[in-house]
Amino acid sequence: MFDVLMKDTNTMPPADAYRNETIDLQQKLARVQSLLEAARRVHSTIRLDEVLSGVLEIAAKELEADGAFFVSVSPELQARTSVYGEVPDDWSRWTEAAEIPGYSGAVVPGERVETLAHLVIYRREPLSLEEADFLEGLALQSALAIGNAQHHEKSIEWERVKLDLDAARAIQRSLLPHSVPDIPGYSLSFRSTTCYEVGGDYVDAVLLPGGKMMIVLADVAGKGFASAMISTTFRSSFRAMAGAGLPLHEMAARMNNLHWQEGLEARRRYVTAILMCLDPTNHTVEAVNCGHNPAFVVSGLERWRIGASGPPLGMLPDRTYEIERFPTPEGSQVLLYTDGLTEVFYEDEEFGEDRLMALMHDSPAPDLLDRMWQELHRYSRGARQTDDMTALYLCRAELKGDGA
Amino acid sequence: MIIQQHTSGTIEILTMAGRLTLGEGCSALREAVRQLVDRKADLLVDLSGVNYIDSAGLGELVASFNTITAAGREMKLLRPAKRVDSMLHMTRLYSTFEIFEEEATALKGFKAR
Repeated sequence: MFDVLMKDTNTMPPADAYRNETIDLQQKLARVQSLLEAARRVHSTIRLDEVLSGVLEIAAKELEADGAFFVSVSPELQARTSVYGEVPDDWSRWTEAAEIPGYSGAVVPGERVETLAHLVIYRREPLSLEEADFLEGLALQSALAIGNAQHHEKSIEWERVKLDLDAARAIQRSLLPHSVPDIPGYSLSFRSTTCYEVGGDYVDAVLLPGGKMMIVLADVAGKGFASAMISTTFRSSFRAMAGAGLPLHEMAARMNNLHWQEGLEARRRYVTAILMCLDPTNHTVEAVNCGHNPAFVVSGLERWRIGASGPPLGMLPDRTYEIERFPTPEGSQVLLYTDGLTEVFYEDEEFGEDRLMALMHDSPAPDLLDRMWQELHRYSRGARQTDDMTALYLCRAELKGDGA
Repeated sequence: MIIQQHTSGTIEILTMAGRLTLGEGCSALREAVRQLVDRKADLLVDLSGVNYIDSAGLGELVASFNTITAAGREMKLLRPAKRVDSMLHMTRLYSTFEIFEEEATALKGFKAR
């Protein structure tokens, strides 16, 4: 290349100044044209492997080099490229500082790093100034093309991850109770919203053969995909044990040890939960709180909270839990919720338990959860949700009629 | 999350400040505990400067406790700030840890080695 540049302009008579200028312009034009052509070829693909091999081929051919290669700070990028042509065996030891004769390199800048790689050619004769300029220009063009190709790969990968997450979300939604068990005289409702595609909150209600109803509301530590996976295994052990007729405190102790035995990573993703069993024949509720936010009970003019009797499930081995029993006369209400509700913030102030409990009136209100979500949205001034939010509301209808 | 460390005999005193949450706070504590176990030291964690803790932070505290007790050493807590204190109460983990208000009393609580 550049044969037009090789003429020795110094020997020309000064009268030929006009001709010199013309040659100089021709040289510049040739340089720009060859770089433009190289750029066109480099940008003709968005496949990273083709970009990398294409750049090396252009560099070696245009500069009449024996071979060309990239040396990158990124092991992923280095793994994607190989040597083009013939280079000495020690090529991989090339560094900018080493200045080994025969090698010429140019910086390929990165988007977040000053130097993503060096584009290096091997040729016994040193490069002329124009050739060095060309190599530098080609390295800059390859930086753009590598960036584009990497973005393209990431967007394809992201599409795949998104499809996976969509499928996971569909599965998780399908694991929520499809219909709320119908128990005459009682009303049960729940609501759950995740802050990411999938979440670590879990709510379930299972009607047992004898007519009792097992209820659970749980919150896996953390959020997102890992917590969602744990919540699915938690669901399996809850469902397997719910029908076994175990007392609730025993069930909690077993679920605690099962989770603990899953190992270190699962222990970091421990579960806070409330297990509850409603007996609609003698109108009583049994509840066990395993390290979870206190449940709220409103019964007539009385209000109280069911606090934890033991630590969250899966954190520590061999823990014990206690059952709390209480009657559910007409008009009784129980609210279970995850901390995503109490920890809704406005500036530095969180919504908190007291505000949440105050939303429960003395009489049951079937639309309580809708009101609660509206109120939380209003409180946070519509700020983006930062945690999964789940609540379950159980109430017993009040006697209607002549006030008897 | 800022962690400062000083030693009193075989006891390492870890003073944490800031947010003990998923990411920075948790990994800082995990790394500190890993080094302590290598050095076979007991641990006193000063939580008076921890103004926010999330579920992951609480999990990390308990995981540290499990790691240190499994290595045959002791871990105690010093002056948990309001939010940490209420989390420990709510989750009934208050009884799992020995918690002290004074560093001198806490240090006396460790077994002599």
